[in-house]
Amino acid sequence: MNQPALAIKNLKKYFPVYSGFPSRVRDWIKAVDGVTLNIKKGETLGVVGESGCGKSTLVNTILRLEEPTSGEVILEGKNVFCLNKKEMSQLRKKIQIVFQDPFWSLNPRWLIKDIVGEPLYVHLNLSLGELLSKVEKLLEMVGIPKTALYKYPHEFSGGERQRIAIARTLALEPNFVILDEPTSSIDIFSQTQILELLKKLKEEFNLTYILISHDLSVVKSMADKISIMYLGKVVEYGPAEEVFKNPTHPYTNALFKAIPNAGTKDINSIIALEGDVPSAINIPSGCRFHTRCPVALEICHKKEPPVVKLSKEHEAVCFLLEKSKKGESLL
Amino acid sequence: MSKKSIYFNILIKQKLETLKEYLYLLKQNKLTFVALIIILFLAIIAIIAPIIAPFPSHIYGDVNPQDKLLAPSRVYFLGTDEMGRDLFSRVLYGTRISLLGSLIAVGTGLLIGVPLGLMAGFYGGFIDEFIMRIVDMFLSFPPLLLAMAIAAFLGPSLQNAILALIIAWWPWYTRLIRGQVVSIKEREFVRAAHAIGTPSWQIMLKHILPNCISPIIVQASMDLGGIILTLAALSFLGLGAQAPTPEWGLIINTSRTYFLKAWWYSTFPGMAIFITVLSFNLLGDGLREVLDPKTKKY
Amino acid sequence: MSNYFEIKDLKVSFKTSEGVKNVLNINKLNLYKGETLGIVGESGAGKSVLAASILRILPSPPAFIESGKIIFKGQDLLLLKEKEIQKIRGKEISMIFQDPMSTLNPVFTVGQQIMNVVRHNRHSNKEDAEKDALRMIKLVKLPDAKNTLHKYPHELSGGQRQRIIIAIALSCGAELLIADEPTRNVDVTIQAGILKLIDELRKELGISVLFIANNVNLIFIVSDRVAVLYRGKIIEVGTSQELRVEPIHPYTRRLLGIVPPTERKIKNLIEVNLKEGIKVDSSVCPFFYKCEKRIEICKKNSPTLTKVSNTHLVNCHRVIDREVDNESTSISH
Repeated sequence: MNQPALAIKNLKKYFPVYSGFPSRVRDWIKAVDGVTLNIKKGETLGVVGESGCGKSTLVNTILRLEEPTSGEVILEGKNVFCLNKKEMSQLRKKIQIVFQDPFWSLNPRWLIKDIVGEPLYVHLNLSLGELLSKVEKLLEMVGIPKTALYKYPHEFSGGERQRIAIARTLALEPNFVILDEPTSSIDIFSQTQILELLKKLKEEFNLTYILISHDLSVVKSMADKISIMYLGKVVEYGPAEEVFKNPTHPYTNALFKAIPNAGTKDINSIIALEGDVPSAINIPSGCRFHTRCPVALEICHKKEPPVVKLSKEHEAVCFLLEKSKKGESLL
Repeated sequence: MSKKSIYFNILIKQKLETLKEYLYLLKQNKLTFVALIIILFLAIIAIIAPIIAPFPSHIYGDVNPQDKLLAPSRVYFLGTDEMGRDLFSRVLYGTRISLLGSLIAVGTGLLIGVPLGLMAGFYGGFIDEFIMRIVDMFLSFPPLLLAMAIAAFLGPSLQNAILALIIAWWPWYTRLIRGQVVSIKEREFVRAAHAIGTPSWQIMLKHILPNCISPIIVQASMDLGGIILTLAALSFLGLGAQAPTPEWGLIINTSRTYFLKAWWYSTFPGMAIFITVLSFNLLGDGLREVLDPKTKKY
Repeated sequence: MSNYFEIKDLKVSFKTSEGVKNVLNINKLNLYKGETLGIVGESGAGKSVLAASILRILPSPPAFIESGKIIFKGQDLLLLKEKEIQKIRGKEISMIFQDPMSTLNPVFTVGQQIMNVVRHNRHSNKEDAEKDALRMIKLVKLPDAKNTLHKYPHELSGGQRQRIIIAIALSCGAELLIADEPTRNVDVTIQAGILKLIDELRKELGISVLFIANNVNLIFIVSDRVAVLYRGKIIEVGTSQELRVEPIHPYTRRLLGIVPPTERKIKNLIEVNLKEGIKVDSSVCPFFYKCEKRIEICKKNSPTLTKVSNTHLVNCHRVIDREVDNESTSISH
């Protein structure tokens, strides 16, 4: 069955900006402005973008922690936004999230056994003994000793807390896990361990991941496909290897060239973009990247660019690429 | 040993550990520790007052005109009032009235104010606006005026004074906790709970409340002192306890007439109020220090 | 060339409820005139403490400088009185921080903020200060300088604010700029611009830069020489080229993404040493608990910086014993 396991269809999430007395809606923050993505079962989709690109809102909306303005999210055949409270509660078991901050993603006043046991407590009717056994097993899976059950989060290091968070995430045996910058706030040793752990768990439980990260090395090591977001829209999408080798969209290109990596020779090799990210309230006309694009054309100011297919699974949203297909020169 | 018994054993051990830690921290601040001892002492007095009072019948009723306005002596430790009643017994019993009264007032205030604040902060939007506007309204009533109004309607009494204070006090707790809730609900562990599917009421009670209880505890302990003072003031003005209730403020009110003749009459109830309120204030201050660095740990 | 800026035996500690915790212990660190020296390390390594110690702006209590010397142009900064170090701050040594929003006062325009600094340090009058402010805004390549003068911080973007901070820092002719993770809170595409700006200004004004960051790739492209900080100690120092091509210390290699194959061994080690962060035992190498190449002697005493070349020094016993990448017996735990 080639149906995607998770399909996001033209998802939009706008936040109202109130002003005046009595409060009226004056403007809209278009945090997510029409995102369409398909994720196959067992895949890891990397989502890359700078602050303000909408990736956090995207995640919140997929999890229905925010109600969308329009669009659909189809999870295992069901539209997430059409479910009632009870069905939604059932669905939550299938899709979970690991947060960025291992410090605050665990309630500092709760014991580890309660933190990891919470999903079990909320959804299943287990006896105390059964719950404790399950929690022990979950902690074992992530390499945390049993003695942790009766300890508090502050007694653990960042890497260990993140592992505990992962144990909690797996409690209800989800199929999808969203990883929101899972390694950004932990030390370098734990980072490697966490990534190895995530890879191991993915194989063991046939998980599907959505990985958000600004660290390209993390994305490179884990993602099958990657999507680049800018100001609420996906500007490029494709197999990770291909996109990294050949970043086609001007923004992707600029982004990759701006991040120093092991191969960057010197300061002249990094590219700076002019200007700043426009506000999500006043999105530029036409192609939203045209205000900073080094190769913007006339048409980019006026019309929204089309989705151009570059290969079977690689596509980008840019007029230039369309022209190139017709045989004209690029960048 | 079954898992359950292991669990309980460890839990009890941990609770004891935490208690030990708190006591240790409290001990560090000597003033707070003294305050705590005094309050415990007062609490014990409040409970056994009718038993240890040398003249229990003087507390409410029995008039003893031949012994009126006697200076402190071995028989009457703190002297007598104009009705010949033993001041010591009355002041002793007044402890019970004041402590009980303030516990009821603060307790009820918390019972009303905290859930409202939780809901206002958590749900936001219209519920928040609605509750906070009511809070604003109530906060605009000076407790005194409120007590007068209620006294006018329902007649002056200790119970009605406490009622007035409950009405005047609960909004402070709502406001206090709402501010906390608004910042805590953005924390990732709350988002995590949402993502797990934990029902809202559970999130409010088990996740958010434990994390914002510290300022409430501090405020409540100081308020216990504050309420005692305000109750005494209301009784002093005739809006609270009525004769022959041995409420400290009321005693001081009656003592005014005999102020120059019987110094002991106003001094001792006054001291009682002073010591009690001071102890609660010091306790509140000490608790703030104890609870804050602990929160820093998290 | 030597002794332009030198740190010697600097020990900084914090008084905590759990005792005195030593957070910085630098034997020797030089910064040469005109160069960019990069300090790289993870959070908690002591980078910001180092920066704050130089300008003596550590929060003390609970921090305090146990011992050491920071020699700048012949003067020991740690011996100066408060009035004297005030003269150095801003005028000779300047610092920029991570968060541009909290460094700028939201109530004043950016022009006023530059002018305030100039007037305070140079005692100039209003017109001269305004000219200086204008000049600085142009220097940091902000467009439309005249109008920018009258803007408030919240009217500017993150990247623009960071440029203003740089303008303020350099407005009084400082010759040493300490940049404490200046691009941490800035978008990556904007970061590149700021880094290039600092590099250009360095060449234009002939200043020296102490650049602090937690991203090793970033440090390599902005610095001439790099010092790697781990738990308060410098564990490797050398030119960018040397460290990039031939990183020797296992931690430096780790930062560069060179992960040892025996990863599983280390997992167990970390669990055993849960509370190791409390007190740094000076008799053990600071990297002992995480090192895949440790040997017996690493537990007994802390190594010192040893020369591998004239410019490259490493803090490791195995370098002292000249057993840099052999399979010597590693002790199991």
